[in-house]
This record gives sequence, C-alpha cells and structure tokens, in this order.
Amino acid sequence: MTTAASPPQPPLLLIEDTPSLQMVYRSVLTHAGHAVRSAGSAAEGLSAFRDTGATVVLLDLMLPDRDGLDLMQEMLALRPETAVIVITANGSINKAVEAMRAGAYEFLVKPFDETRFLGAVENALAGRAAGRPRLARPATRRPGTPEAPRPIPRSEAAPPPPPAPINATTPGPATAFVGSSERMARLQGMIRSVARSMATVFITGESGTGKELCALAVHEYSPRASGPFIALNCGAIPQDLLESEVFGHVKGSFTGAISDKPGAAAAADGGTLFLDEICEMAPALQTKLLRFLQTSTVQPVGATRPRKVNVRIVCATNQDPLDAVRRGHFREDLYYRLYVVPIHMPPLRDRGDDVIEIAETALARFAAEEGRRFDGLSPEVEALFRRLPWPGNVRQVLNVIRHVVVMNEGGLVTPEMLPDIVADEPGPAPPLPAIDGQDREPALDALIGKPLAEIERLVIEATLKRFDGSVPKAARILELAPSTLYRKIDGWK
Amino acid sequence: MTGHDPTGIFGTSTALHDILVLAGPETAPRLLQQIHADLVAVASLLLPALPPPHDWPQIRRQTHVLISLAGTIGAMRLHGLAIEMNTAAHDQDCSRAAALLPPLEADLTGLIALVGLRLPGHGVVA
Repeated sequence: MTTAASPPQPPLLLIEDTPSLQMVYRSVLTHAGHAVRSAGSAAEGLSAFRDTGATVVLLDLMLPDRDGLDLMQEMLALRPETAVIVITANGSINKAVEAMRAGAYEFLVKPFDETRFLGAVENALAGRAAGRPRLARPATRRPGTPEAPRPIPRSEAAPPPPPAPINATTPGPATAFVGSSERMARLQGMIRSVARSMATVFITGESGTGKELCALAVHEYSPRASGPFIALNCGAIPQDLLESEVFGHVKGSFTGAISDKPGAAAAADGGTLFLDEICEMAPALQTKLLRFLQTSTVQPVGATRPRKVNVRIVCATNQDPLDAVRRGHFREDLYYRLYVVPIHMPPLRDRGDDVIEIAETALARFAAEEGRRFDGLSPEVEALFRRLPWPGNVRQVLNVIRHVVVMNEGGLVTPEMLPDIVADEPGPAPPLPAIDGQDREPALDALIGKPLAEIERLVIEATLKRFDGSVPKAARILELAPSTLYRKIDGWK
Repeated sequence: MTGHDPTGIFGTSTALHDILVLAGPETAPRLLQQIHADLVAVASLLLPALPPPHDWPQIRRQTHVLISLAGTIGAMRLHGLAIEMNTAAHDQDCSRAAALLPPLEADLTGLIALVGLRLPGHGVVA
C-alpha cells in the first residue's frame, strides 16, 4: 500500500527587473529552502504566474513594461487567493499603500533585511496553507452583547489573559453585527475581504459604533485567527506607562518594574494588536510605533536587545486622523503607514431600520439573561427609535434596552418604560440662536484675548448649559463624540 | 568586512559581504558582476540626466533603482543621497538637484570602482 504524497508546493514567483536584486532575493529565498521562479518583466511574470500556479508572488511595483499594480490586479483576478507581497523602494510608499488597498498581502520597502523578507513570505505561505475563509475560530476576546464592543479596561496594567477557546459552532464576529442595512452588508463584505491580507486596517467612527468589534472581526476572519487578539486603548493608559504597556519592560528598568513584562506587541505575536484611540498616543511613542512597524521588532524598556515579532496592526479612532495630522498631533509618516485600509463604521442614525433590529435582538438577549419575558417593541417605541439621533450609537441603544429589561417585569415595550433621557427626546436638537452680523462682534469681543483652550471651555460649558447638562446633546451640537466631551470635562476637574 | 574602502562608502556595513556569503562560492562572482553591471547601467543613464536642463523622469527612474541597489549592498550614504535626489526630481527642484549632484556622483563612481576591485581578476576578495 502506498501513501498518497501531498501535492508539491508551487514555487514562489519573484518579479523584479533589476537583475542583481533579483539574484539577491533569489539567494535569500533558496537559502531558506524555498523554490523560486524568477521573472524580470511584467509579461514574463504573468506568463510564469499562469504556468506555475504560484500562490505567493513577490512583486516589484516599478517594472519596465507595465505598472506593477496593474499586473497585481490581473493576477488577483485570475487567482484571488494569491498572496502578493509588493516590494518597492523608499520614496514610493504611497504606491505600496495603494497596492495594499487593491488587495496586496503585504508590502516591503527596499532595502529590507533578510528576516523581515522571509517573515513576510512565511506568513503568506502559512496563510495559503490555512485556507480561507474560516467562519468560526478561537479568539482571545469577544464582545459580550450583540454589537457591543467589549469595554477596554481603563487601566489595563498587565498583558491580557491567554486566548480562551470559543465553541467551534459560534458564528464569527461579523455575524454579530446586527442589522440588514445595505451599509452594513457592504461593511461585512469589506471586513472579510481585508481580513485575508496583512494590511494594516484603520477603523474610524463615532463612539459606540462597534470599532473594536470590527477589529475583532478582521482578526477572526484572517489566517492568524488562532493567534491572540490584544486590544490596547491608547487614550486610557497614562502616557508615562504607555511605552511599557505596548513594548514591555524588564525588571528594574524603572521604579515599580518588579518583574519582566512582555508588553502588548509581544503578547500579540502571531496574532493581531488592536490600538484603540490611536490619535491619543504621545508623540514620543508614535516614533517608537513607527520604528516597530518598519522593523517588526520590539525593545522592552530597559532591554538591551530588540526582539522580532509577527503582529498585524489594526487601529481605531473616533477622531478625523487626517485632521490630527494637520494639527500636528499625529505623525504624518505614521499616518501613511497605518492608514492603509480604512474602514468607516457608520453612525446608527445612518443605518435605517438597523436600530430596530439591534433593539429587538438586545431585548431578547437581555430578557433571557434576566429571566424575563418581553413581547417586543410597541409601534410607538419603534417610531421613536427611528426618529432619535442616537449620539451614543449602538452602545446607547444597548444601555436603553438594558434599562428597560432591568426596570420592568416584561410585556410589550412602550414609551413609558423607556428611561427619561430617551422618552423625553424631542427629536433633532434645537438650533442655537443665530448670531447675526451685528450681534456677532460683541459676542466675539468677550472672547478676544483669551487663550484658545479657555474659549473652547467657555463654548462647551455654555452648550452644556443650553442642553441642561446633557453631554450627548451638547456633543451632537459641537460635532464631537460624547466620549471626547467627557474627557475634556474630566480634564477640567 | 567590505575590504578596501578609503572613501567610507560602505561605512561599517557588512551587507555586501553577507550577501556574497549567502549566495555561496559558485554564485557570488556572478552576483558581484551583476551588481557592478547594474551600477554601471544606472550611472550611464543617471549622470547625463542630472545636469540642467534635468531629465526628471529619467532621474526618478534611475534613483529609484539606486535607492534599492545601494541600500541592499550597504552603501547607505549613497542610498540616502539617492532618496533625496528622487525627492528633488519629483519636486523638480533644480537647486536641490544641483547641490546633490557632486556627492552623489562621487559616491556612485566610487562605489562602482570599489565593486569593480572585487571582480574576479582584481585580487580583492569579499
């Protein structure tokens, strides 16, 4: 009896037009045990791609006979499962970013070191071997309620716990997004699509829209889903501890460092590191994060040697990141490195009837948890929910429904059962009195001469007063996330 | 070790040596010849394009190759100059290009000479 041999692995396809560089890359790859087929032009590369069945392609974006990006798109159209690692010279990073958005698996900026080069290839090969999509996998963290992002501990001092396996029949996190609106359908398709690459994902959206859930979905649909998912809130950790939280420290490196600590980047090795509120990161740490992204190495505080790690970065903010760059709060080079695949989480008010589906799903779940029986939402409540602006988004809906379930015995949910802040909601916030040309100058005169921070505070306090202290309403008028407003108010105490 | 390098083109980098060791004794001479040939090809197209009126597309193309090639073999000063010249070409910045021309030309020709010294028949080993 003979044992069936596994089919031979197709060679790596290397498309590079500078002959000496082609020889160097080939040497590195063959030395590491890989079979390689080389091509010096786009035409030759495409022909080899068709002939060899290559599943991993190393592609120089600047080719003499055709744009490398265009070639990549043709290859992905022929075999969408191909992992294309684009290689380009420093100075063409925008081109590489464009390639990532078009479906490249990873990009390398020349010159790169051997370890990073081989690491990218091995990750790509591992991803192919794992197959995709995988609909249910273990994960480190999952949200506890439909669409509810797991709150990130405000002072997470230690690395997160090891992965907790989840029942294999548990649906993937993308199915945890409740809502059948077209926007959410598009979003879920996008998550599945970007998950397979190593591209950095930049999630934007208001507070409560489910940014962490989105990050978790990207992780769980990716080839690295069996690895850890580590979440870190850059805005919640004191800046002087953040470096240690991200990169770790060695015992004795500073007062209070009583033992070695690996840090989030090392804890995420083989998995995904989710950096929430990335725009809150201190400038000094931004520099270190950039170096980490360029070298894939971490150097714990007090350590003498860096350590290589294999981490995919997903980050999020409720701010406009480009505005943070313009204001000088966020490094432009880091922005371009991170803002590869942007995903915007839509606010609930733009998701049509999703609010009803979310509320009903949450009602059923919370009722089961509390051992109560509810019969759904009354038409009046449904109408009210459709009308409300929901500045706190999904998180606010979940809080409202939780309140209903806790404070009532059961039955049909009517407006009287809702918390006051929702039941009394008059709809769109009343406009502030207009200041016409004549009145504007005296109003501004009172502000001239004051520092901008004080002017901001005066305006925020006046707006809060106008809305009887309601932060969500004031935040909506000021076009800020409520969490931002809370943070500012806390800062004044 | 990068052998005789009076101009400091390689600095302390051992990248070229490492690459040749990795390539092995059979491939290393061919690889060295190819690196030399590629550098000569870049120089033959780049240096005539640099003086006014500046052939900007050609400068961009050739500095792009030079960034990768110089960086890969550890000629980091030339690598940096190539990046700067590439940026100047993108911006069509004549004065910047003029300022970069002498050091870039000196390092490029120096590098070609250094690599040439290592070619079979010149008696210098990697």
